[in-house]
Amino acid sequence: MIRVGVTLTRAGGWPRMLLVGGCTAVVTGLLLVVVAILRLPAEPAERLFALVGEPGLRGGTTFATAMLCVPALLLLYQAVRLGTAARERRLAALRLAGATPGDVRALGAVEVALPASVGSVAGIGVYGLLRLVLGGELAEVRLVPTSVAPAWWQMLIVVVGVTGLGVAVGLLASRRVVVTPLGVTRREAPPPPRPWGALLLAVAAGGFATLRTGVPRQVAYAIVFAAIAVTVLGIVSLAPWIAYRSARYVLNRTASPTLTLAASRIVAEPRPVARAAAAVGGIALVAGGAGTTATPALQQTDDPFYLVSYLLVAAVLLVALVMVVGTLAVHAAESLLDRKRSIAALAALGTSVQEMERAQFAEIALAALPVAAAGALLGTIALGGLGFVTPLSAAVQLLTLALTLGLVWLAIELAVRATRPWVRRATSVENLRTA
Amino acid sequence: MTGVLLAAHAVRKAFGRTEALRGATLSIGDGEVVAVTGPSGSGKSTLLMCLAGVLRPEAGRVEYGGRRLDELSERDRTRLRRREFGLVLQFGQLVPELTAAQNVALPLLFERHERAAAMRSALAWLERLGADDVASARPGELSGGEAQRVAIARALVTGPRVIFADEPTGALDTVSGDRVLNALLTAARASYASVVLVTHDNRVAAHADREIVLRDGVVEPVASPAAATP
Amino acid sequence: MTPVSVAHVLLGVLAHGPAHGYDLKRAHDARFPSAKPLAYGQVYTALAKLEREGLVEVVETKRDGGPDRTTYALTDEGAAALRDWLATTESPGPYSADDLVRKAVTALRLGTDAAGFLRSQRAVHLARMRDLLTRQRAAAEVDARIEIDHTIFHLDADLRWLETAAGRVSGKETDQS
Repeated sequence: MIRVGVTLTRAGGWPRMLLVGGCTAVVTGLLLVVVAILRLPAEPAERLFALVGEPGLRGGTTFATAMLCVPALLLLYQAVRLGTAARERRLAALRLAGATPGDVRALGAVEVALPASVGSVAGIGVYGLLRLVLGGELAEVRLVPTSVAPAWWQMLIVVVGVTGLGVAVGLLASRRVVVTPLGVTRREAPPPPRPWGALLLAVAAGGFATLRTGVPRQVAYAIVFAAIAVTVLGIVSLAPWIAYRSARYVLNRTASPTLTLAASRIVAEPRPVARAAAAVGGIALVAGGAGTTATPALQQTDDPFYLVSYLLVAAVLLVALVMVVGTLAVHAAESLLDRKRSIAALAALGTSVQEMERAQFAEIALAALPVAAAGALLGTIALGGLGFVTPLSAAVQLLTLALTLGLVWLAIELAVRATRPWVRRATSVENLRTA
Repeated sequence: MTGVLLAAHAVRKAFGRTEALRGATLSIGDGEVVAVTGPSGSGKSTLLMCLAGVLRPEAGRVEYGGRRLDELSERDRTRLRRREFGLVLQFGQLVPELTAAQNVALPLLFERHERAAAMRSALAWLERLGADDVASARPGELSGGEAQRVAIARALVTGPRVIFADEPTGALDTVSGDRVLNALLTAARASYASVVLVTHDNRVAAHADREIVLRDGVVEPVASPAAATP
Repeated sequence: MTPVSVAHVLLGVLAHGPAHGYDLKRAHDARFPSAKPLAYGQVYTALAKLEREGLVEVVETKRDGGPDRTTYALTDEGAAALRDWLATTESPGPYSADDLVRKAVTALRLGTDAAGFLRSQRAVHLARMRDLLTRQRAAAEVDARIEIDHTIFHLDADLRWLETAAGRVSGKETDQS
């Protein structure tokens, strides 16, 4: 059984394995940093940056670091789903040969577990790297403590836990194959997404509202974190609905062929694009929130703490954006692989590669940009409240919004450029062969 | 039937080490319906793609309207295909996320036509081919014959001068196949378009004005008229 | 009534060398295993007619009280008639399939250029199909169209057989050693 699993893993291809391993490595590294920070005593033996050194701020920092794992896990989900059509055929062939759904599930688990475990172990190396670069004597900003480190049993728990998490995500991604034994692609359109996420946002809003009443500091912190988490969840679950509605709107009005192709694709299958867009939404949310609170920071020029903190936040957001570009690229490549024949037919009819790329761009942008705008707006409102607005703060918030959307646009451009070789491959006449 | 519209001279095309075309020479007249036949692996589809400017031959010339097609840049060839050529394949060529009408209108949108006008043309062509009742259905919901008629409408909507059809009835049963073939040829003849029809089916080939037999990558010499029954 | 083409098959056998009537019957049956075996009476009637037309001649006669041991041979006129027959295409139609088969087999046995023959025959068949299709489009009644369909389908069958024959002749068949 294990041998079949290994063969399947290799059949899945190197890029997929590397992505899965890379994601688990990043997640493990980040979590180990979190563990190290949590092990710090109230008065740390070394000089650390205030965000980590001061116990009051530590909670927020560990929370934010842990949240960075979310885009990495989303990328992992996308990576497991890469090459879905071919995977489904392989696993369906196994079903026909007599494998039970349990067997297929087990094989799917092994297929992910192998690279996930290797990546997890490599994550210890990632932690070491982060420690080297962001901790100790030579670091510019000391974020990672060197006086303490996770105990061996803590490392083991993290490694095993992340592997398990990876396998869980993998199982989640492959549940459709188990259900349809003959690997038949459904002809009916799935039901359109519903805006249930709005309820979550309402709950988060309620949480923020309670802060206006006097609550003890600890409770306030807990509420804030919970509300932020719920808001992120809200954005993630609203993303499909936002993507679907914006695509529907465009589809009925546009005369552009690339927009028509892109919008129809989203309407037909909103969830895959929305997953990618959701990650973008989360990042935009944080960016929006940061933008609101940036105004007082910019006015305090004597204490470098605020400026550095904001630069750090910006750096982290950029890293997250890079990870999201990865997600977007994976999604773009996957959607091309699924539609080789009709793309090749369009190319033969007289559609250029550039036009195909524009359609790819539009497919992601139509979903990601509205979600990012919504996220940034929500972030602004959540942390800034709907009250007190000065011309300066309004300008800063608008600037943040524009900057966020601009960076998202850039990220999508990069992702589409990265998948140019796949576009060429999809338009090849070879895909039209019937023999 | 005036002059030569499309011609190939000693065209060679290989894929890796396999030579699909080994010096094919032929010509197609204005408004002519030509069947390209031959055993499997003889290079028929490759010849079609070379004539349509989708593939570039390694040697030889392809001429359309007197101009060298194989020497044009990819951009120019793409534009030419869009405006002057139509393509019908055996199956699976429509965009699955668009409705039939949207699929047919797409080439017009690429030519920068206004949306409402494009949809009107699309519906008119679907009606002409007897497929207007499936205009708002998606390809996944159509039968083989219906999907092929939508594909034919898409090929004809820009008013091309040449239609290239690669086994258009290959995936269909006899009755649907006949219906599709008749729809294609009637519409093409009405627009005075030439048709290059790749097929291995003799009954389909008999619908053409003339047959070109491809064997082992070369065009077979035409049968000598002296052999005809007295 | 023995078809004219059977007589030509006999001429084809004699082209290999003089033979008895009995040998001619055996050769015919060997070449057409699915057809009805020739009766001796048919063979001798055909030979008599061919002799009258000057296409064959008797070279030897032996009468030992047993069966007739007449040896026949091809004349120059007979060889010419055979060549002409092989060079002419058969008129296409479902009722001439047998003639088509006889001609193709005879030509192949004699080592004549099969490719050229098959090409010419294909062109003639296709022309007839084209003609029938035109008539079918013009036909008003469904039964006329059905009748034409039948002919067209049989012509198609002949054409596919010709293509297969060409494949076998060129040695491209795969499953027989």
